[in-house]
Amino acid sequence: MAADERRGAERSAPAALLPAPRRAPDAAGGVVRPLLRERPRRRSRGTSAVVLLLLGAVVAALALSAHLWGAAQAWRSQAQDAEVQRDRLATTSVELQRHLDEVQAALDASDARVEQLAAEKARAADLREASSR
Amino acid sequence: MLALVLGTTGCSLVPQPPAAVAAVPPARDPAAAAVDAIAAADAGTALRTAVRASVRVRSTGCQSVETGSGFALDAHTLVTNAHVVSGARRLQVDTWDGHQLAVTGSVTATVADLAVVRTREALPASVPLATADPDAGEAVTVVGYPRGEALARAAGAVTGLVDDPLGASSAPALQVEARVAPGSSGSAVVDGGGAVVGVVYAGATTGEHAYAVPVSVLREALDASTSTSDRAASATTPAC
Repeated sequence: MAADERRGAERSAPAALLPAPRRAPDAAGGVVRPLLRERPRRRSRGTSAVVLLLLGAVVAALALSAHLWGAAQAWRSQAQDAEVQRDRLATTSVELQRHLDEVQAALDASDARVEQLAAEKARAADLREASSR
Repeated sequence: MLALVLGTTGCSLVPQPPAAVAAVPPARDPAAAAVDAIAAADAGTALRTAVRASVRVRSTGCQSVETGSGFALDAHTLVTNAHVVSGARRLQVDTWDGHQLAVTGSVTATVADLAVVRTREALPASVPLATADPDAGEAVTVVGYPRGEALARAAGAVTGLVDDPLGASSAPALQVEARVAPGSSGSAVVDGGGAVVGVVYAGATTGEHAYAVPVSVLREALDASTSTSDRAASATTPAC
C-alpha cells in the first residue's frame, strides 16, 4: 500500500532537477584522493637548471668562437702585413746593395785612375831625377 | 661539449688556419745579404787602407835612380828595405795618390833587411802590424810597386818560415807564394784583416815566390831603431 502511494507520487511529480542529497564520505571507503595529479616540484627545478646550463654553454661557446675567429683574423692580417713589409725591405735591401755596388765600382775606377796618374807622375819624376843627376 | 657546440654553430665561425702565403721570390735573406755585404766591405776597407798606406820610395844614388816600395806605420814613419835606402844620396816618397813627400832621415836595422824612414809631411794613411807571424797556408796580399810602375796587389798564400835565402841574416824569412818583381822590395804583406805580417825583401827569379821579413822580426827592429835613429840617419847621405 505505501509503495503504491510512493510510485503514484513519483509519477504525478513534474520532471524537475532536484539536488542530489549530499552524501557523507563513505567511512568504509577509506582514503580521499585529489582529482588532479600533483607535479613533483623538485624534478622541475632540476630540468630548468640543466636547460639554463646548456643555454649558457651555448652562449659561451658562441662567444668563444667569435673571439677565436676575431683573433685568427687579426693574426692573419698581421702576418700578411709582415710579409708585405718583409718583401718591401728585401726589395729595398737589394736596391741599396745594387746602388752600393755601383758606388763601389765607381770608387774603384776612380782609385785606379788616381793610381795610374800617380804612377805616370812618379815615372816622370824618376826621369827628371835621372836627367838632373 | 665545446666541439658539439662549435659543430652546431657552423664551420664558418671556426677559425681557419691562415691560407698559404704566396711564394716569396727567391731573393736572398736580407739579413744574410747584409752580413755578407758588411764582411766584404770590411775586407775591402782593410785592403784599401793598406793600399793607401803603401808608398813608392825613390832612391837617388850616385850612379842611378832606383825605386822600391814601403808602407806607413804612422803619420810620419814608414818601413822599407835597407837595400832600398842604402847608398841613397836623396830619398823621395810618392804616395798612392801622387803626392811627393820629403824624407828627413832613415834608420836601417841590423837584424834584417829593414829600414825605417821619417817623412816631413804627413803620410795619407797607416797600416797596423799583426800581433804574430802568420800560419802556413794563410791568404795574404802583397801591396807594392813592382818595377816602379803603378801600385799593384798580388794575392798569395804563406808557405811558412824558412832560412834566409840570401844568407845575410840569421833571422827566419817568411816564404810567400805571390808574384813579385824588382821594385817590390819593401812591399807590405797584408793578411785578410789588413794587418802587416811581413815585409818583402827578396824574390825568386821565377817571380813565383817572395821572401819577407816576418812581423815578429819587424817589431824587434822597430824597437831597436828607436835607440839608434840619430846614429843611422846620417848613413843615407853618402858623398858621391
